[in-house]
Amino acid sequence: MPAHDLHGDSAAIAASLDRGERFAVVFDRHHRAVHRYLARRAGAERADDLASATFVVAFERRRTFRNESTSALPWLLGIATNLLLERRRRDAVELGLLDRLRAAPGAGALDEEPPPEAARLGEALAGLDVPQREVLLLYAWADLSYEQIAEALSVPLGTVRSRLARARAHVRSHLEAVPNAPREHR
Amino acid sequence: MIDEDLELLRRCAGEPAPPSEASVRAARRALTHAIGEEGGAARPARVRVRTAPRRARRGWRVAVATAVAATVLVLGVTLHSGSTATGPATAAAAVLDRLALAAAAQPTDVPGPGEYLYTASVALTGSDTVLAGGAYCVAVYAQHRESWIAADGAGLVRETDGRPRYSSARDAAICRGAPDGGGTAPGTSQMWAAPGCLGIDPVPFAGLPINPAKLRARLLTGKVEGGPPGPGEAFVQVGDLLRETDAAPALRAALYRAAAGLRGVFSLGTVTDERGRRGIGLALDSHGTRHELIFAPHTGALMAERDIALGRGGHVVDWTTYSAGRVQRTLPQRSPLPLDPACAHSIAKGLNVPGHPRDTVLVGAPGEDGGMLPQPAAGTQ
Repeated sequence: MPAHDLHGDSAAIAASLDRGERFAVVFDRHHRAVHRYLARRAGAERADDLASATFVVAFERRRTFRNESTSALPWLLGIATNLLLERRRRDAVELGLLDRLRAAPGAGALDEEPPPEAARLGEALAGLDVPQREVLLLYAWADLSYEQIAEALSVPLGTVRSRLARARAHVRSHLEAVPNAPREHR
Repeated sequence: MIDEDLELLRRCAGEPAPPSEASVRAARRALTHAIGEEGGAARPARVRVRTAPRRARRGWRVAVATAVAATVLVLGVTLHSGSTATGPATAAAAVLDRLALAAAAQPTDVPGPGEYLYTASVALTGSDTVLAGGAYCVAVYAQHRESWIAADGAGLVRETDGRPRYSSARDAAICRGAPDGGGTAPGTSQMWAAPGCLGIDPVPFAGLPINPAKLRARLLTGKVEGGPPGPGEAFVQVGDLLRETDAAPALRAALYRAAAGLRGVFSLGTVTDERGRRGIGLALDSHGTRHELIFAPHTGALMAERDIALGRGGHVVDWTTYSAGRVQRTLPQRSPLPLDPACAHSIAKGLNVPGHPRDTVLVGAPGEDGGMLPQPAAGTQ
């Protein structure tokens, strides 16, 4: 994760309470990172809309930003995650990702052809609980630390650790258990 | 290697193309519009966003053990003799029908205003810790979880971790040498939640059909909780809707009858859970994992569940046992910090309790209209 002026996010958000346009600094700093994570989760096209919505929601709710936080990015990714889940319930965005992984060659959100294990990884992710999957993907795809994930998802640090452990155990178990299993037809 | 799973995940994610200039401009316009709206223009239209965090399908249950690839940590026994994937589906259907009858005969136990649904569970849970420099350790420990959740989503979740066990001397040395024991120090954490932060119902139960065929169809198409369609996911969701919820007896009965028609469900007969209690087991194999649900024979209540990896002869990778839920009138301990205002989903934040670093109070900012979030400006959706 890129290093930012740690005080800068808090200062910009605090300043935006009186002068909303100051929030643009937060957009300029983090839009790319938020979009990158959402593109990995939901594909580039949906990432455009979701990233946009993330900053609108963040602006509306900027009074809730914890000014002791070191970066606004976890907070923004928490908002993005909630929007993603909401959209997922509406039109199965997440399934799009999992299907792309399962289908291996076919890209979508992926620029490069996925490795051969991608299909099984997709199946493993499909079998994960939503909270576990969110922690795992924030860790692996957004490079957040345990503490930042806890902040993003508003859960205790221990919960992040246990969810990550469980998610990784599930993925490893699945990758080990069915190295050549035929793909289930759905 | 221990981190192959993460490496594979990262490789599969690829490096997405950066947003186009047009996309960035559109997003900036949307934000500018929102800023302008706040400056005195008309309020933007609003849409309701679910305010309660999504409950786990299997995640909010206490714990779950971890089995690590390179050092497979066998937490339980191998497949017990009563479980056979070839058991007749008709036996499972008969068992589920008996459970449905038992469940339908139970009294409704739904918390009223000011009351909480209390549940307790015990499991084995795991903790992976990655330290600076790449050192890595895995610990497994017993965890006792209690939750008191009101109908409005307020409540308390208390988790007590036991003394950790390590998969190797190396893991023990690394974890013990890490700050705060690599997150594995025994102790209790508490999380108080403002209204809207938790939820008894993983989905709005009122919208679920109690006709078993219709409910099964909803489960199979992934239209209850989302997730991939198919019997494996549907079976897991049956557990989700029974676990730590206030599902009414009629809905519970419908869930059992819906599960009876799922392809691949089979009966395990009488089985013993990790606390030594005897129950009726049902299972379904999917994606290399056997998911087992164990029910109390006389009430139909979910009393335990576990997952078994089917590779390498089968080993239990996680288990959880539950105590029967009951309604309580009070929380055992008040929140040390104010819980008001109501929790708003997207912006809930955890506040550490001074002097109690493990404890958290989950609150949100005032919702002008009770958890409604602003709709992105026109043209961005």
